[in-house]
Amino acid sequence: MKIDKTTIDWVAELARINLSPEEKREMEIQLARILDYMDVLNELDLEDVEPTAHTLGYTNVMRKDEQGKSFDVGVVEKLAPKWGNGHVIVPRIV
Amino acid sequence: MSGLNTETIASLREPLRKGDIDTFDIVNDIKRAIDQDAQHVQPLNAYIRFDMDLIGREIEESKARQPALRDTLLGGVPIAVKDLINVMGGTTTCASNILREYVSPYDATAVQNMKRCGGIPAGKLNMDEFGRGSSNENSAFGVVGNPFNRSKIPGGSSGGAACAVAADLAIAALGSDTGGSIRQPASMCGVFGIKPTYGRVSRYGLVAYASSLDQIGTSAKTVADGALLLEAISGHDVCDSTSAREAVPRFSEYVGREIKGLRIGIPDEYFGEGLDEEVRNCIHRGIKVLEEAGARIRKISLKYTRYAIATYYIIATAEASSNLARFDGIRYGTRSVETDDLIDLYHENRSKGFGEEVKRRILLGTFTLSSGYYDAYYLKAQKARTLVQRDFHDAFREVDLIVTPVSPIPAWDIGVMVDDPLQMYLADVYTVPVNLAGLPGASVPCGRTADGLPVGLQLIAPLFREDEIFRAASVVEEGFDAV
Repeated sequence: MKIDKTTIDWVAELARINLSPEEKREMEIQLARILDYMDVLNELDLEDVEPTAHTLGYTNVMRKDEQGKSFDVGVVEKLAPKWGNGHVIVPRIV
Repeated sequence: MSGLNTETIASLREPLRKGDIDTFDIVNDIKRAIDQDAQHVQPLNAYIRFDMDLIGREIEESKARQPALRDTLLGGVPIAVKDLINVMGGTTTCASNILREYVSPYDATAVQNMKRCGGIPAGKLNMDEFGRGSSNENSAFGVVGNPFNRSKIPGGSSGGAACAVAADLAIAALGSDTGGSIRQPASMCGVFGIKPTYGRVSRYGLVAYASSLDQIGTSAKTVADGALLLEAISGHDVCDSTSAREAVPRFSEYVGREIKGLRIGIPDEYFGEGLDEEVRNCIHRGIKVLEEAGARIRKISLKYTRYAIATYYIIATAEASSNLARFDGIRYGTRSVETDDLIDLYHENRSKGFGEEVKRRILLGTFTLSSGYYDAYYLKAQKARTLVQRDFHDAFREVDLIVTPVSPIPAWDIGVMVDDPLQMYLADVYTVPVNLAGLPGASVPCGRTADGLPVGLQLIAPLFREDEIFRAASVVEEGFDAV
């Protein structure tokens, strides 16, 4: 897999991470090496193999549809880096 | 005279029960040992926080809540906790700057279960940031040393757990294992460490790294302690939809049982190129101990082993990139920068909050999940995972237990692999297949290298057969104690 600067920029944007020019160069080299290694999987014939998402194979695990406990607003307030009028404050969105 | 910090869960239960000692006495001795270690020119740095006020409160609350505390399974023994597992009222930093000030508003289910059985959470242990790493060098709170040689890594990511237990800075510890994070440091620090079957212990309150692989387990000085603690934390939990409804056996009752006739498989693929000769010799001695105790040893093949690392790192980084999307400094955690734009806020805080290895893994996972590459990487890895799993299930038709090395090499020098992440990933070759298949696996000490570095032997059992691991592990433990 060819990783270039454009790919790194695009992935970093998707992941919402800023990288310095130096970090970008380093990531480009390292990720290319790691992804080259991943190509070992191309040796396998996986045509008729089912993917495994979960080792115990559970599906649709439900609990009772009952109201549970949740944190008081005061607890959430203490966790929030910025808080006002009962809300988490973030920069203007619209 | 050595303090109570050198004792085990099993040895402390009786004096606690009789009232000869109190939990405070044990915690004080641990604190003294930690303070003493801090004076060393190269401190081990096993803990991120050992908050005496908080621990004191836990002890008082436990006594008030459980008048019969001293008669419980753990009897009031303090247990250290990896700082990726929530303990109410204290910080859960995940060894990351982005959660440096995060105070957990609840207990993880494993911690709740442990408390119910008389375990007292005492101290939060250092680790690789968010569990990403095999050396404990990726912590925002500094590198952890190996008690057997402080210039060496303790292993990771539960490096603090193994280190603290080995250096008598803890009685026992809760850790977590996604690709070997309990077993590999246990091996390198010479303690017992077990990752139970996926689903055996609830992951509620464990900060998620790779959700389909993560599992909480125990690090302990003895196999018996590992069993007692695992017994305490296991069981189904409605808060974790992937936790299993299987009955939890009394694991501690399997410690010391004979293993006559137990069929043990030795996979060829785990003894090939790259395995250090001294490690190989230690493992062979361990196998001999099992054979002499009556186990039937036979060779087996796990032919998809060579695909496990690639499969694991695709799945683990993909899941990690998704799980870590939630850390943005908005609802909790550290918001180190304020911006005028929301997207900038995400960028700034995530870039400042995460360390290098975490960023690398997020980028890798984001890439393999991105449009156009999903089929080529993630889906392919999920299919390869099926083959790795099938390999084990086929093998377990012929054998009851599989024995392998834990790590191909003993603890390496701090710093030597930090610039070569792929090299470090490859060192996980013997542990990651177990997580891919969801199986229980443990590391039990089986000797040391000429330089005095511990080597661990890995025991892998079929799903929910931790009992077989405890039987065999106690035989290996006894065999090497006698040497």
